[in-house]
Amino acid sequence: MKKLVSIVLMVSVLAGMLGMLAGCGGPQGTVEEGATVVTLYAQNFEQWNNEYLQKRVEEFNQILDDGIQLEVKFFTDSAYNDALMVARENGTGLDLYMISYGNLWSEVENGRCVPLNDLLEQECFDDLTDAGKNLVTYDDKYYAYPTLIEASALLYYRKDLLEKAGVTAVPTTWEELYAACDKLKASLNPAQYALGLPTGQALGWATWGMEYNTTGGLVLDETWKNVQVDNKGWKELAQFFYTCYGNGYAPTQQLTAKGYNDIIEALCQGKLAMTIAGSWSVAEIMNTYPHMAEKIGVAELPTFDGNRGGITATNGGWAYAIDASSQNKEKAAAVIDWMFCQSAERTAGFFEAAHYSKTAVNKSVQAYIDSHEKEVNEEWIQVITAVSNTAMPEPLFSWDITVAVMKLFDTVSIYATAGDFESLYADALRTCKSDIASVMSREDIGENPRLGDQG
Amino acid sequence: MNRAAPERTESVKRPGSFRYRYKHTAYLMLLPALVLLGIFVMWPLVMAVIRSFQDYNSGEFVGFYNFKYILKTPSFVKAFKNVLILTVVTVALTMVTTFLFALLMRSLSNRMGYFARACVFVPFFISGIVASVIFNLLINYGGGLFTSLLIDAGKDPIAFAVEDHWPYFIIIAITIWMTFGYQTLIMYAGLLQIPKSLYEAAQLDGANFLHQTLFITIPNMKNYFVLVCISLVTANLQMFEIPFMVTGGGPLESTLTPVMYLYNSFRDPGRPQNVTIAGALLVMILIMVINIIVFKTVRSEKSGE
Repeated sequence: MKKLVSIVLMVSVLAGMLGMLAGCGGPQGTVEEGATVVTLYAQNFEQWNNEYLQKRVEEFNQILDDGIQLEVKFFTDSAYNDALMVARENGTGLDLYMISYGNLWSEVENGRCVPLNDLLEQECFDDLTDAGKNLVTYDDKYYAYPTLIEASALLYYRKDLLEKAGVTAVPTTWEELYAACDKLKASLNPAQYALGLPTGQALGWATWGMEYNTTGGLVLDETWKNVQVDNKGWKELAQFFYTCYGNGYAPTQQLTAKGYNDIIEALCQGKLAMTIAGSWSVAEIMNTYPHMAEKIGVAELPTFDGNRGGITATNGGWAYAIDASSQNKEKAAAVIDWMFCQSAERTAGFFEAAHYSKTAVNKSVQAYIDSHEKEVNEEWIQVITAVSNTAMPEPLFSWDITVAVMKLFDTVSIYATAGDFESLYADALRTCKSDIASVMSREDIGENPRLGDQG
Repeated sequence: MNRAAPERTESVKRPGSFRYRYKHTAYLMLLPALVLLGIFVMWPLVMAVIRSFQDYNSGEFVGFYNFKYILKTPSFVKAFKNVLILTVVTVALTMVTTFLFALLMRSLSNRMGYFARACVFVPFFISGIVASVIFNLLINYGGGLFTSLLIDAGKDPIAFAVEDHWPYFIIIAITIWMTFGYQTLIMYAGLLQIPKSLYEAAQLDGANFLHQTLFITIPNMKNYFVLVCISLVTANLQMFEIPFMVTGGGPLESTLTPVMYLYNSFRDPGRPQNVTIAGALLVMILIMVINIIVFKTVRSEKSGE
């Protein structure tokens, strides 16, 4: 009897577990009978971001006569590329997926996504801003549909801490920045720092704008054949980092869990008086630290000579691409059309949820946003829009090249208090050039698909 | 009264028949394990070797292109150098400290010995990720325990994950902390198997503790040293969780390990994946070569004996 009871119990538990598993990942929202399932692979972002997308998917699925059932699968950033790879290897239903602009070229080069020119109406593309078009166009074809633009580097500052330190104007040059940091350092306690800077991997990609502004280009020229790291401006830019770390303006280790991506938390918590951070930080402030919003200002990055309105950041962001292996390309395109082309009000909802920390790439959406009241600091939006409009696309050469430059800046930063700049820079430059030469010798570095554009 | 010798009966077995009768049973019992090994180890290995000689997108045979590519990647080469340095230092320190602690434990009373063994063995149950999180809380630059103590003492906080040689020190410390208990127990077991009579005889001859350790303990512990050395070397060459969680491979990729590099590379859509597979095979070959060298050295010493 005991044995029978145990068996029944085990079978019930197993059945329950199987039932739960079967229930997981089921249809999202209303189910349309006989519809084709279009699968969207999405990366896990902030909670508000994921909830917004989920809501849109459910809204889409309430349309019961289009023959499409949209299913979204979320993956963490560390698992996302694995998921794409596995889906392609197994041929398991990858239709639509999110891709960053920086990684789109790799998808195009390897034939993993298809052009959208024949899948979407021309009006869809005509509505895009020039900045949006540039990010997804190769060989005059649109290989993805852009959804937003985020400027990678802005200066955020605590008005109250600057005022307390006697800093009366937001710095626009490096010399003004150093002077402000000296005053802040004198007024802050030992656990606080004057300035936050990109660290780790972010030191590579968040400084592309600074590189362009200071040196007039990136480490490779437009043809990708010539290394420009000996040109004027590179030493000065390295010295900027050396000065900031050598004088103790910036903390040598990241203060937050995700480093540059959530550095704004350190500003909101008072650990930093100023920081370089991306435009996405506005959403973080409004969602997590709304009570600090009035105390925070946003400005364009200070430049070496005070030039304003030039390139100081790159435009990052995400696009929707249709996988080359998809059996439902037209239906996937219909999803893109519904989400981004049919209704400016619907698309603008995302930017409202993001507290306008991201810039729209559709002219109609931008016009809708401009014509409606916004519950966020207008000054912030003006600065973010202005910086995004002049920002450059992320470069497409091998990441290993960027790592070599990142290590150049990292060396002079880490050893700023231990060695003199000239000898540090000489060693770091030698290593940088050697690493770049090694990378360029291992493969045909290829041609810049954006030859003629910036980057 | 003489007893007649028992007659041979049918039940007397032929030589080797035991082995013959049970051979099929043995293979049947091994079959599930062999099938699983085949599916989850051998077949992926064969596929990996094939893929490492192919272009990822077209499947074309490209010879050693993928291997040359990864060997010309500065980060991967640096990762190899890093892990060799970390391994040598960690293994040497672990072996010395665990041997000395095992000697100490042997001299403790039963109760104290049990307590010491229990205490040092606790970290063995903690995963590398959890251990890293614990240490991160201690060394956190934004307000960890050590940072707070330094600030309270009027000192500048130390960026343990970035400054000077602290990143190496922290990684080595965590690695030794985690493996200390297990390796100590192995050393302790080795010490227990040395006959006491050897020490008694040595004492009678006037040998002191140092002489006994050098001429009795260490020679008799050779096999245990080899076991500990091989297990530590193999584990440390595959070091991943601790540098991943504590330093992220920095500063300046000085704590980047090959497995970490491969982990990041595998998740980078811009990197040809068959290059990553080639890198993984190179790591496997390195570990195999080192183990073969150690085994051959041990076997030649044993043959000499």
